[in-house]
Amino acid sequence: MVLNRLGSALAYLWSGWGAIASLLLFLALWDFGNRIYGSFILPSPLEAFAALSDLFAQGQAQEQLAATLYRAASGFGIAVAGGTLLGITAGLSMTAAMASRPLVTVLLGVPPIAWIVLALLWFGASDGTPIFTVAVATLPITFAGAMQGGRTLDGDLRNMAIAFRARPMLRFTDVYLPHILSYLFPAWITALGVSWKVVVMAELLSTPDGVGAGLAAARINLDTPQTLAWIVAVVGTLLAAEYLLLEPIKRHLERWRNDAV
Amino acid sequence: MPSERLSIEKLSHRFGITDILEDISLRMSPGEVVALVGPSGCGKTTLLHLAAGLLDAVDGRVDNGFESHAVMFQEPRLLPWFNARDNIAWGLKARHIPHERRNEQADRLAHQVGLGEDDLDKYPHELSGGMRQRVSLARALAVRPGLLLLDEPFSALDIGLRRELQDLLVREIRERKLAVLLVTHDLAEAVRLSHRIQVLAPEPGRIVHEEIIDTDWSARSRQFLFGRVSAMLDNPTVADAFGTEGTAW
Repeated sequence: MVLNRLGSALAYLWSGWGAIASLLLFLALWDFGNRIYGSFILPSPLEAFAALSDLFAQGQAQEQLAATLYRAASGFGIAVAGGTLLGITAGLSMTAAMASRPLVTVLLGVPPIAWIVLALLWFGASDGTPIFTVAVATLPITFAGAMQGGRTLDGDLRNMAIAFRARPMLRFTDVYLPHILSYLFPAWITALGVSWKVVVMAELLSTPDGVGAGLAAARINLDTPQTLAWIVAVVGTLLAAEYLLLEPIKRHLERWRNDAV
Repeated sequence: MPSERLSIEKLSHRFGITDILEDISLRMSPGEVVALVGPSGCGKTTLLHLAAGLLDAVDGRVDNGFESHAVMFQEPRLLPWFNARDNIAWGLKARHIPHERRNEQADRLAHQVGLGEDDLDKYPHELSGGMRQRVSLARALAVRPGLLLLDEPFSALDIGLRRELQDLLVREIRERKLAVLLVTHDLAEAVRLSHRIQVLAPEPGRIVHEEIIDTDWSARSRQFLFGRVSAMLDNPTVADAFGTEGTAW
């Protein structure tokens, strides 16, 4: 059992080689572009990483990443909690589903940039603007995932649970929730990606600190290596969050599936 | 326990405007095996669901005096995210039995129904159809039901496996004094397992014939089953219920 688990953890890490190879290929293409267009338009990966390590050496990168992370995580957290709860409710009740679907479409239809403008008017240049923008941009995603999970519950399993006189709480945790989670996780991963992009955009337009503000400063100084350094930092953090945190959790929770390998 | 019995009185049921069941009366005591047989769509599964409390009767009364009951369905209906052991123990979990004790009981029952030690850690998708149905049977037996409700539990299995699980069931019925309400469309299965067979005719479902079988289980040979089945089908009421009157067999 333990060996089995260790084996699958190793296999997971080993499967990373393919991903690393394709990332290296991407770096090679990037370097190729640098040779054609020159360092001002497209600095080489080496220059970008050097700029990034400068930012880390000054303590800039840690500080701004922490600010951005806090905002993205807060907005994402609100969206996950609110969207999941509302989505499950909507999935279980036909009326709630019918009432909420057009609302979700409306929310999804408003461009994030419009939310930023509104948020700026409401919250000013505080943490509130990026947090609100992230929450409002990702809530429909988590909501839709949870609703889909709630709507596709297996009636046969439900009947079985009732026949065994399981209390509603046990029915929820053992019968409904594992099913809903398999819909929630992909939605959460998508929402995480969106929140990370939206937070940088909101910061660029609204706050004096954070990765977005760093990007804004780099733009004003026409500092392309630093711009790319920030991009690398943002993408790197997202990749780490997805593949070192969410993906392993998902695999652990869904080890009962045929296709979980 | 004097009131340990199931009594169904003048039961009728409808889905919308379609009459499903009409004027059904049925009594069952501990240790008694009653089969409900009839063609598809005669409402026998609905009757079982009513007895299990999964549906509320439109007319009439269902009185389930058994302290506990368990249901086994045609499909195993296992929770795919739990391994075999946790599935067997799940009915006990619903009764708030502590973790260790229910695992002990699950292991013991798994052994009784012919599951191996290594099967217990497997998830349902890793088990064969027969193994899954064994897990389902063990889960039903785990709650020590006084009444076991079976909805065509073996009809998706091949003949050898069906026979083996039927033997297993007979042993459990004998040892535990189980009352069993069995829904099946297979007359031979009904003759093999039951004390009483209720034949249902469709549209709307009603009991048209009762067959008593008082031969001991051990004496029910293949010849005996064939004999009883063909004798039953010679009865015009039964043949009519199955829609086989006038056909060659």
